[in-house]
Amino acid sequence: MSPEELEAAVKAAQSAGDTAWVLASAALVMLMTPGLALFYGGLVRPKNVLSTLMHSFFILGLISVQWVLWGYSLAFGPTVGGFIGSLSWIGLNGVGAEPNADYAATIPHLAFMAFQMMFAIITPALITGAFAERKRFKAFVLFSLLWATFVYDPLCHWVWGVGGWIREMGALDFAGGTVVHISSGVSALVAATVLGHRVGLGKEKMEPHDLTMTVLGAGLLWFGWFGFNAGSALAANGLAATAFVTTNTAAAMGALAWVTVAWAHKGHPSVLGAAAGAVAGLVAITPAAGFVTPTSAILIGLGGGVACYFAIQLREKLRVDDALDVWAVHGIGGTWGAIATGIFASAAVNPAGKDGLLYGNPSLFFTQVLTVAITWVFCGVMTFVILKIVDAVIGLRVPEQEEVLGLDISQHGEPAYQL
Amino acid sequence: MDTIILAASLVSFLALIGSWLALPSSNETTTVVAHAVPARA
Repeated sequence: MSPEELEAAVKAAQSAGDTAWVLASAALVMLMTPGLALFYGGLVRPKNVLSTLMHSFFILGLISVQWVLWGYSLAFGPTVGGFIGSLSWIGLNGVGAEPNADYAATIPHLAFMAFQMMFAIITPALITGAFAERKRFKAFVLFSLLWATFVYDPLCHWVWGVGGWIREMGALDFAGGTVVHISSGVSALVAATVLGHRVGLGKEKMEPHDLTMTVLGAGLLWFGWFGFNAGSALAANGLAATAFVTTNTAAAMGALAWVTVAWAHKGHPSVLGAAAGAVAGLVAITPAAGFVTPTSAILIGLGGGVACYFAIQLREKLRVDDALDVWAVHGIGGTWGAIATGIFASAAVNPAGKDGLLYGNPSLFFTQVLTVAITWVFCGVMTFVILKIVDAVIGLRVPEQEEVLGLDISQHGEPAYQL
Repeated sequence: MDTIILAASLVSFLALIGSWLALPSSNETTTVVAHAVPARA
């Protein structure tokens, strides 16, 4: 075999391995959305289980098609001034089996697109926890479509698109701390505030109806998160292994920290706390996964578990009915993770990254803080505007009698359980 | 810096373990009730 043939064979083998890993990761991330459905479904009352599951499952269909038709082009297409992708890739025009070296040089462009599609799907699904048990189904559909197009796609372009202005600013977001978690968490807070309380809140019990379902959902989320973070290396290599280990470590520490704080606060090692804490740790490590060491991941997971737990206490004091605590876990967890990236990042872990504050580079820390602030403001304002438009066109909430009856019957004509 | 982060992560993990030993066991209440049943009988 000549040297040229050997080099070609090595490249082909690398491409095959990378493609297999990214496609498998896309499938892992896809499974997170049904996992999220179970996580949320267990937390609501029996009369709203199906409607809650339906939010995530329907978005799986809705955003899959939106992403193919125009979402991917807006998010990753050739930039228009750093603010949005052009429509030149509409309907995946020109997105084929050949790699796009700007994003991932060793895998088909279609594989990169499919991997990113799963992120675009789960992000609006995360928001649905804020307006569970009271939002009109048609309003949810229109809101999700508008939010994906006018919030997710532009933000994704700013942070990850070639030429995106936040990317050019030097911000680091390995797998979506800003793009996925702060965006959904802040939007959830706005949505919960605009929609108002569920009928009967504070007067009747609104306990989770099936925590076994929630723990199963958390397990699926943890499993799928390996694709989310380690897959974001976009190659089957050492960076993917680093992100895999930091992801698992932060999830573990998040669960331990949340259980401990809740135990000290409420007197019991809560099972729901273990599930929520693992998710908080996963959220926190998401922007940092490929930039930090496993020991830094321990501290990031610890901070995620503690910060998100106290964010729930704050949310309760503020009397905002973010029904399933999306803001506390994703908004605050994502904010901590993005800032922690600016603290703990090490160029020794990932030469494509940068050193953070603890390694002598305060500028990254300030860039991360600025990015967090920009994301909060953009997502908060845009979500408010979209909600007002949807309210004017369709009406956000179901009528009170339908809310009392439950959304499974009133919106979908099906009960979850035949007891 | 890596050594400091290692030390901080070790301390935080050990602190969690230590706190579990100090925190109340919710089984204590159950145990008291279980012992009380024969006494009432």
